[in-house]
Amino acid sequence: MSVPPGGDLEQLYERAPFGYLVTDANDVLVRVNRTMTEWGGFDAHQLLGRPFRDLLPSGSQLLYETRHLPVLRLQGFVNEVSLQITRADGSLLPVLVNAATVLGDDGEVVEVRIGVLDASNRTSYEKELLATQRTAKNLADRVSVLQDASAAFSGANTETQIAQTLASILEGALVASSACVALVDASGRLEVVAGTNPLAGRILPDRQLLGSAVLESERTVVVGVSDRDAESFPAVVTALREARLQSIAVFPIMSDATPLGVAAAFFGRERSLAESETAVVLAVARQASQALTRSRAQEQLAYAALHDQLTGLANRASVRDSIARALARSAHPNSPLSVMFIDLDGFKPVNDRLGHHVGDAILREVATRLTASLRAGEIVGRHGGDEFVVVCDDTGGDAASAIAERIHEAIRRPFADAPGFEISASVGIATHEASDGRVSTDDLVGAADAAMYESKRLGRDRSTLVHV
Amino acid sequence: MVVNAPSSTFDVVERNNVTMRGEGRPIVFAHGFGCSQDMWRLVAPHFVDDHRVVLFDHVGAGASDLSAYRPGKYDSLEGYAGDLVEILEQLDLRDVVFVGHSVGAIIGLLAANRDPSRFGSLVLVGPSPRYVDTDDYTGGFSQADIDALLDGLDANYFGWSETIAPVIMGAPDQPELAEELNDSFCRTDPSIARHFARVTFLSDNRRDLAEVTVPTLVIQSSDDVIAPVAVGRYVAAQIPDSELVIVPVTGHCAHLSAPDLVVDAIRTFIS
Repeated sequence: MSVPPGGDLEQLYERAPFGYLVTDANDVLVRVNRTMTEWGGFDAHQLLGRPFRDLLPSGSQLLYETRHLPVLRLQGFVNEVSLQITRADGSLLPVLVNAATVLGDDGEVVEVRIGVLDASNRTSYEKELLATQRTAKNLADRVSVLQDASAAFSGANTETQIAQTLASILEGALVASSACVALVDASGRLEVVAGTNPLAGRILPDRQLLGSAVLESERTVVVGVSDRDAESFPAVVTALREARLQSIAVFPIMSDATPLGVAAAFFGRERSLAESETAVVLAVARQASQALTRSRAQEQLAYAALHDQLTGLANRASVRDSIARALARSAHPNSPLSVMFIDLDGFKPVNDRLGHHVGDAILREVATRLTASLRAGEIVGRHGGDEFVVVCDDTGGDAASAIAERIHEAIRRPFADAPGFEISASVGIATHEASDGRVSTDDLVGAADAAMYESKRLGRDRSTLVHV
Repeated sequence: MVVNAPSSTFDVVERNNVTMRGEGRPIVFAHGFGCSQDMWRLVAPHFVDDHRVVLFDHVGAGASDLSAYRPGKYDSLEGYAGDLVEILEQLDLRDVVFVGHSVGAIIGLLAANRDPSRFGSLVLVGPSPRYVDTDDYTGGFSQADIDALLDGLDANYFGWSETIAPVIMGAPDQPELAEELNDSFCRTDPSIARHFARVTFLSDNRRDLAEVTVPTLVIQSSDDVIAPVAVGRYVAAQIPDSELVIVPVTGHCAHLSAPDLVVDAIRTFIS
């Protein structure tokens, strides 16, 4: 018998330019070629009798057991699986593995043949490429989150819209199961205004505790269901468990040193956030904070344009708008409209003798008493100085006179800030019905003003009614 | 808040590629990480004669509807457990024998804790409630091991990762060609597999064990590096009404390497 080209078959096997191993059905090595033992620095007889997976580090074992073996069993072969083999000296050898089962007559697996290629070069090249790709993707993701956020915030005008935008960006960027945004309300408490809070109603006693802790420290707080966190936030941990969640991350929304609120993301498993993730969220929270500040400034401007700064009542322009609108409405159905002009009696001496700050306090108190004397839908504004205007829609002369009577009683009561001073209200009422013909805002205000002077002339603290 | 209820049976069945055969007490099989319902092909047919055998793919695996994948929902096993409950509701299955492998076992356990009324028995094959070691618990793996697994996944899917595959195939408008490169068994979407690996191997569901109220069988391989015997004992000890069967099997997939033993253990338990 002639020796085949390349030497005998034994040599072809032992000296093949790749590792060649055979295991039994239970993954136990029954044959290993020289190439493999040399690559790994192994002693052949030490390997035989050991499972092949013992050659793999833990990470590769996970892949081998959950992916490689099932596919091999079901398909009969598996190709180009990238694994690592632990050499005898502990170093790792990246390999590409092909494997095929050999079946016996009964269809059961008899042995598995495994071919192993040294993939050191390919793997290191791939690793670099993957690392680069991942870095690029992370950067691109961060940039796109920030860009999308900036576009979304510029389109959001109300507090609720801004909060909703922040909640949905948070949920997406952190792959959270849900997210919500709570803003500090007028009483200093955190109120959820957007998103979904799966803990709502579950942590009543110290609902504010976590949010307050975040705002006080101005730092992100992550709470998981671990025992350590249970000591600091027991109610939060219990609520997380009840909601089938395992962790919550709460981020501060600050405007410089002023806390505006918090954004919270909820997770179904314990998550530690990478620094880059926290950084992106805080950057988006800063955008939200700027948008909130802008929106609040606009609201304040809009409010200031329509309100009297001292009393918070509608200002002259706003009251005149109300009268014009009421006139437009009253033109259609035949419903009366009454406008009252109110001038305080005895106010000047208070201002002169007790000073402007007491005068201002009296004007604020008058505003409060006037507001309390009116029904819903009736509007009171400050016309200037100690003059006020009341607009009563759908109100005829008799009803207006009754309102004026309540106003007289309210203003007559003593003022705690000006003991001994008597203050009262002189009122002029101008009532208009559409059937009387067309009148202007100026006509109505002018008539009410003139009627007020008539009340002054008749001895003050009384009402005079005119029809226009 | 708008709750998206599953709109029809069709949706859930298609989403999870649910398949049904046979009549009788329902037995539902759930696969683990790395594979699909293919995993059960040596076990499930043994129950077709006297059971309604229900198989399904987790979203992201096998022939499930990949468009149903939402990262936030599937960032924890609860998302998968919710799907399982929906399947049982839509098919209106009760007194279910649930058989889950590996992470599929934990998913079933979470589903049973959500709605115990639909479950009659739980069979957990190679379950592990936590893979990463802590100071006082041995799951068998370190965080570095899990990172290495994730790197390994990248390396294995390198050729056909979603961005590179179409380029290699020279057919960016025909992504299905790239998918063909995948093994014909245990198909998984590479990017979803990566996320599922994180969720599977970085979850901690130890606390959920004590809440199980359904009678439970733990089938443990005698030699399994993924879910070692000590972990199987821990699971059985934590679940109140449970028993442990250790089968003389090497490896994590007893249902593939010794299907008859697994079939016998299930039949003995539920008879």
